[in-house]
Amino acid sequence: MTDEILRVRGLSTRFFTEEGQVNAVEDVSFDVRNGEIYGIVGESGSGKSVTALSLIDLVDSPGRITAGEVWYRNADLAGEFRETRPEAVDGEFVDVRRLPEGVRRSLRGPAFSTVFQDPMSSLNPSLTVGEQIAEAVEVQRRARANPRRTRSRTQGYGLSNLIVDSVLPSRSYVSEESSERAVELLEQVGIPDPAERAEEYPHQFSGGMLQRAMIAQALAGEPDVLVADEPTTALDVTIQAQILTLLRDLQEREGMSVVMITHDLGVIARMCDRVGVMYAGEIVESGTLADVFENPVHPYTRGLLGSIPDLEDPAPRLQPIEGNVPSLLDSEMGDRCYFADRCPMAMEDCLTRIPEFAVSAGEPQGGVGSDLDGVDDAAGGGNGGAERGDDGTEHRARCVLAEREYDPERALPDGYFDPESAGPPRSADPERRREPEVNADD
Amino acid sequence: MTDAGDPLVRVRDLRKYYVEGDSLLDRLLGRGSRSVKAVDGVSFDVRRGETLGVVGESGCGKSTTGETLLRLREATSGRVEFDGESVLDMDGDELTRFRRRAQIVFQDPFSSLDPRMTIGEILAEPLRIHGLPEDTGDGRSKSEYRRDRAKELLERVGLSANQVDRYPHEFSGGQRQRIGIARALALEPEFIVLDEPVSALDVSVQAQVLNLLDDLQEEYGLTYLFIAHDLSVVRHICDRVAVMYLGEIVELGPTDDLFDDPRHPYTRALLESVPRAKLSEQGRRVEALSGDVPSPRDPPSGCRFRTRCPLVIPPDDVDIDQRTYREVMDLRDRVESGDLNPDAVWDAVGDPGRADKPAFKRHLREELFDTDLDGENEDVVEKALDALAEGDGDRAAETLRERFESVCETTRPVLQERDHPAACHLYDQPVEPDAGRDEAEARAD
Repeated sequence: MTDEILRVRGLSTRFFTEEGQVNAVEDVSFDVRNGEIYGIVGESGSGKSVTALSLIDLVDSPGRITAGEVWYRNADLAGEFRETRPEAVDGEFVDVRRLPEGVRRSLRGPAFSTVFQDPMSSLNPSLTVGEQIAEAVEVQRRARANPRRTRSRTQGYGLSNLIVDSVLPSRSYVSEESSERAVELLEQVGIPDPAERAEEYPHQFSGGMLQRAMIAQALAGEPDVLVADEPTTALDVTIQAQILTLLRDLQEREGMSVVMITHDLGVIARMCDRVGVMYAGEIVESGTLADVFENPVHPYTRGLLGSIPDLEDPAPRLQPIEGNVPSLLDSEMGDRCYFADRCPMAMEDCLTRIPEFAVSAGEPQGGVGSDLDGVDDAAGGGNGGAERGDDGTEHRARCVLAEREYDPERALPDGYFDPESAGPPRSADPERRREPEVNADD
Repeated sequence: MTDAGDPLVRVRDLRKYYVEGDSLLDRLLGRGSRSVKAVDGVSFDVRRGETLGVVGESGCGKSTTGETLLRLREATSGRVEFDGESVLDMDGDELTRFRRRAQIVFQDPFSSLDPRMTIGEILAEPLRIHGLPEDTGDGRSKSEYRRDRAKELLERVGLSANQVDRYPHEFSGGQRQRIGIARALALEPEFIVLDEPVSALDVSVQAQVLNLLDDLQEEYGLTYLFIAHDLSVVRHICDRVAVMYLGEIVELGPTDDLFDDPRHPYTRALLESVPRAKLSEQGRRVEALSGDVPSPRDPPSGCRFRTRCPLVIPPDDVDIDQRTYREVMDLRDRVESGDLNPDAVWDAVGDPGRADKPAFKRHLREELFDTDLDGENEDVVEKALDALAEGDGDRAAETLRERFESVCETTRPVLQERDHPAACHLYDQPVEPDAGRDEAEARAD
């Protein structure tokens, strides 16, 4: 089962704020396979949540997705648009971003669904939990009854209904069947006495129960891909264990794919098959859990793993990453590896944008045609884009150390990025700085 | 960082209740008030130079404990001694002197610094409040002295002295937490309560702050009370650890002991639940605790953990599988709390006429029992379900209680007088050194 359900390519999301342009997500590419849990891990401000929002097209102003494709496998849709929008179709895949707005919206629910971090603020406090879930079910039910391409999921709900509903406290939108289905969903997510609990309001639920209700709501459309954005961060550790177990059970039972977004490497380790590590809007390293946890290449990934106190075998001293997360303001980002200013192994090579490299596991491997073991390849194409064969190794890193060993001779001097030293000592022989080491295309 | 020190802080039977429904209106209407038992009788020592960790989930009373023992909240009852003096009886100058010696660092680095003060002012404020310095001795004015001291403190916590005129919003979360620590250090205290000092920080920054706390402790011989919910952090930084559940300490011991040989079933469940950032964690199935923490308004009788405890103890004369017993106890909880609504069951059965009692019982069994009952246990449960089907909840509760009542609900377990006590009936309560222990080990397997 290595078929992808989702291929994300070159996704970039920017926020246009008063302080300037914030590059929240920068050229992010990854695949999600059928029935897997793909993890995205990063610290605050790394762009992981904006990546989630971008996937399901929920980025709000002043944010905008400025580039990239989200290819979603759906043979029906592909057939439907092959003639009219050939640019949005590739085999069984459609590029969600190039589909008409109405179709894109109709995918929320049956294709993509989301669970957010904070269940308290994600549910409406003035409606019963059952009603809110039934509403989600009803939307999907009506959508199924109508052909997908009709514009709106709330078709048939016109101005007159709105006026009537606002005068009469109403459940008229939600049918009996949807209410029953809501109770079933609540039972499925392990809420005891679901019929009674459905009548209660969110404040009568505990945090863990609310998160279960949120998951029930997300399941209403029987999604192919569930995007879970920090689903357990607000919860205590014993409740977190319950919710993680629930998510895994549901994922296995329904055969969904899950994109799990979290700051917690422990959650990633328990839940995920493959993982991408984000830093400053980029995926800086990705691969299987073993690749990333056992053989991390990027100094950021290593630093992250070294920062976590070990529950079973505490080290006398932690190895933190010095410095702070960058601001992501476009004007301050510069054309270099974004981690270079905190990196203990920064070299002159890091002063250009770094493409994504396939990681060699100690010996040369095919697929990307890279030169290894520190042999410089001055091919210098300099296109800076991520080259990504869809075959080839899975372990990738946006770091020159994926290709060559650390060379102390080329290390940047201490304090190179220090704002208090009088700026980067550019005198350090710019000629010696290499062009970006991009491989010849394969 | 050895545990040889004598106690700097002694806490005995500390309680903090919040009273609800106690307003004038409530009294006029003759409504009874009810108390939320946030901290309900905790006792522990903090030894000189050590870091004592207090862990627990939200609402367990760990932060209230820290704030109450510093007199930031008034205790309901109990005793707190600091260096031999009773903190709860202090007033006026005594209290001011105590506050110079005992400080606190709060969790949220964003709301705990005044946004309109510069860092220099924030760090000078404690000195100003306490009228320090009394005499600079070198011709500097007092405010110059304080400013220099602020710079010194900034450098000490890893920031730069020339940031002294900046405002809090110019700093990141980790830097602000360093400022919070610097402020706590300003008065050269002996004791610092660290209330979740790193939980708002990203892991890479969290590690920096933990290392800093370590260094400061070494350098100034500080004693810490470290309040946290993150067990990995606690294991890393603490010498001894107290585990709290619903306002009580359920287990206390030297860190390695407690993590390598956790005794209380709650501690075990906590440790089991933590996701490890390791490859071996992949796909690990966790035996998660069921249910939620009960309300502190109406905590369970006896052992407060008994409503979720996987090892709840059956009566001696009842032969029953542990998991089955748990299910019986869950049934009892629901019957006794009135949580189990027979109307809803009849609805679910689809028999509003309430005639089909076998269907009613079948439905409940399917919902409540995964395991099989036999012998007398089966008979008693059947009788109780009969009573429920007849709408007599009280009789059902009584029937079940008669056979299944556990020591865990009748008797409140206490912490033993020893190095690594656990408030649990699986461990000698309170005499008989090792008998209970062996039994517990056997049961745990």
